[in-house]
Amino acid sequence: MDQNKIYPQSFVLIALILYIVLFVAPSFMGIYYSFTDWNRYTDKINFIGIENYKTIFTSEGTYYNYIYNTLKFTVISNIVKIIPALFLALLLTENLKGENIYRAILFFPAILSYLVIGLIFRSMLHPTTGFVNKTLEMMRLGFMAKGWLIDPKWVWPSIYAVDAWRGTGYVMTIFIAGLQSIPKYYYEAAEIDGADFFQKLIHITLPMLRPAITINLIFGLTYGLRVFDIIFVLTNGGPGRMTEVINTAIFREFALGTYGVGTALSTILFVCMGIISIFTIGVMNRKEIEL
Amino acid sequence: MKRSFCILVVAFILISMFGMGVYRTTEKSGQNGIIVAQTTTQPKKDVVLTEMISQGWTNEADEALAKKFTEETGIKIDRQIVPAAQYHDLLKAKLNAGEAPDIFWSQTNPFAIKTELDPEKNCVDFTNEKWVKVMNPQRIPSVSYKGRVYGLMIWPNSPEFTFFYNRTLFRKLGFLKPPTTYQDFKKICTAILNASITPIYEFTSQGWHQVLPFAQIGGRYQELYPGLYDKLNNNQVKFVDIPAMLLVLKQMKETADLGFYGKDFLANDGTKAVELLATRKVAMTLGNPGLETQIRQAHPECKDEFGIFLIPYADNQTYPFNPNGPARFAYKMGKHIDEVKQYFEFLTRKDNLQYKLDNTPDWTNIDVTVDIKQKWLPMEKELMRKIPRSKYKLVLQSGVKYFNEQWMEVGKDIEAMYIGAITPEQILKNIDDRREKMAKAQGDPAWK
Repeated sequence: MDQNKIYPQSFVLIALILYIVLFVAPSFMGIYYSFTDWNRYTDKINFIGIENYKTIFTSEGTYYNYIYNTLKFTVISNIVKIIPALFLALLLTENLKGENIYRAILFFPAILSYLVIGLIFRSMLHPTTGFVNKTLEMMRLGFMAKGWLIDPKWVWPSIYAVDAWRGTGYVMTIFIAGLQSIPKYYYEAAEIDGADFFQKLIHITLPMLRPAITINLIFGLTYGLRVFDIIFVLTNGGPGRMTEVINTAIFREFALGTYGVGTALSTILFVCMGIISIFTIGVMNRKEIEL
Repeated sequence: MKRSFCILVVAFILISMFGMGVYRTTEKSGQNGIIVAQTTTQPKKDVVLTEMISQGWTNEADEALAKKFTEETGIKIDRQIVPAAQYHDLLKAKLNAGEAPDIFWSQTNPFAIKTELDPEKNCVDFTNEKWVKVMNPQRIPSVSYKGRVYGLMIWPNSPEFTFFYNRTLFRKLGFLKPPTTYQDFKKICTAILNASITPIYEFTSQGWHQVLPFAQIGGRYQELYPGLYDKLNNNQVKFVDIPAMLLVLKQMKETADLGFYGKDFLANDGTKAVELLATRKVAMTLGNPGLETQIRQAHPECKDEFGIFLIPYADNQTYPFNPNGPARFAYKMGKHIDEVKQYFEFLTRKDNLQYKLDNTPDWTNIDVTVDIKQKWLPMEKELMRKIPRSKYKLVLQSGVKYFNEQWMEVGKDIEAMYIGAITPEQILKNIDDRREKMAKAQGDPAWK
């Protein structure tokens, strides 16, 4: 059957127009504005070439740090979510008693608002009055009590931990869906051949789970690069500017009224996201196996 | 099992949605900066005025007045209280996006009103309203632009942000008088620390408090460099060129490094000041005289005497004069401008001003022309009597252009200095860079 004849191509027009008007056009307008001096103080917008990019890349490392922090967060937050989520998914597809309850409990943080999470964890991680340090002290483990969100050594690990608490259940759910689609007879055949758990994991589960891994990676990468909420509510970029990321910097530029620099930062983020996403999809699709 | 899973998910979604919905309607600040949600009653009329306020600028008295207004008129006030650290950015983002609430509060400054609020574009002109005359005429320029009045400031006129200290504790440690120089200040702090008491309750997590020691002593910079404000405003000199500013930042850093702020000051949010002062866990804080009233109310068992002294960095002995303060503005594109005018008129009524003062424990007066019963404390009168009028000097944020607008950014820089991430010199350079950016964006001729 000729696949093209199922629906006429004109059916895509309305969706395409909406997509262009609401997504593509604003993106390109944003790129254009990044080459202007657009700001809050005057109605005139002048083309200034790459001045905004010069500001970003010649700012004695300030913006470099924000870009570096964003990339660091993207990589580490994905590692600390995807690996535990995979093992939790494996555990919770083994027909354990009450596994749906466990799945629900692990998934629940994903539906909480970032604001609520931020307020709860800021209170819990307070060095003097917070639940975490108080509990450690009660258990005579006071030496482990830290300034979780104010100590430069501990602020990033604390953010990763809170982010993992929120996001692991969501990643796990996608893995569970992927695991449930793997035919059981592969495992039965492998067991007959004498394969152990790790051999089954490496030779059956992971290759068959590649689509779910791709989805989680793409979601994780785009989430990591666009991160804003969790940082804003937990540390507001602090202590000092230690945990500033590209989106908190964009927010500050817009608040200061220097929209041009804000859109330039946004464009850099857009380019980074585009390259990384295309690269990841390319790599994962090349290796995808035929079911 | 699957059914119970579905029920749990649905229940959680509903709880979450409810929680978020309530947050959007009404919030109230609680301890530790946590926002406590409150439900509100149905309006009698179909008008709801949204009001956005920074945490710390308002209290239960405003809430009660809003309710009283609803009872009288049927117009409901939906008060949205935002943590101070996020307030400025959020307000500016909302104004820029054209989505501001009907009423919003803003820290005022005649130099900054254009850049912060763009009043001609965003704010309702109240020039001809009767209640404008209720404000002290000295404060009107702070809420005006090009001769038009845009805001309502109901604020006290106390010696604002001086060191509030436990006089009894100082005496017990052998210090009969408060310090007037930085060296004396250090000696006293060291003695307090040796007595296992945190000398100063500092808090940086709100983002604004840490800037005060630097900015409130602008008069001292003026004293050391006559005409400094004019030179800064005409771009004839930069912050980085002023050694006294560098000295003050270094002294602030030293104060933190010596442990005078305690070890967790970066996590503090200011809400524990009363309790810690009353229980002698801390000896002083940068605050207002009204703290004494709050201590007497919350801790009647505390019999200690309290006092205030001027910030002694760079041996400052100038009185921080500041006609500016937080004020209410109304959004020009709002749908209920007449109702907002009605509300502002209500707030400036004598009985309501008196109610506000009587129910705001940290205020001892309100700077208005209406004859209400003020409650000045002896410590305020004592300080004001002691300091000659010639020493009443305008604070930095009210005298220098493009500084107040970057208050929260300077706060971040100071926090970064405290953790050793940047130097005092870099802070001054950053201030200059941001001033230049703002000035150039506005086409300020002094920066061309």
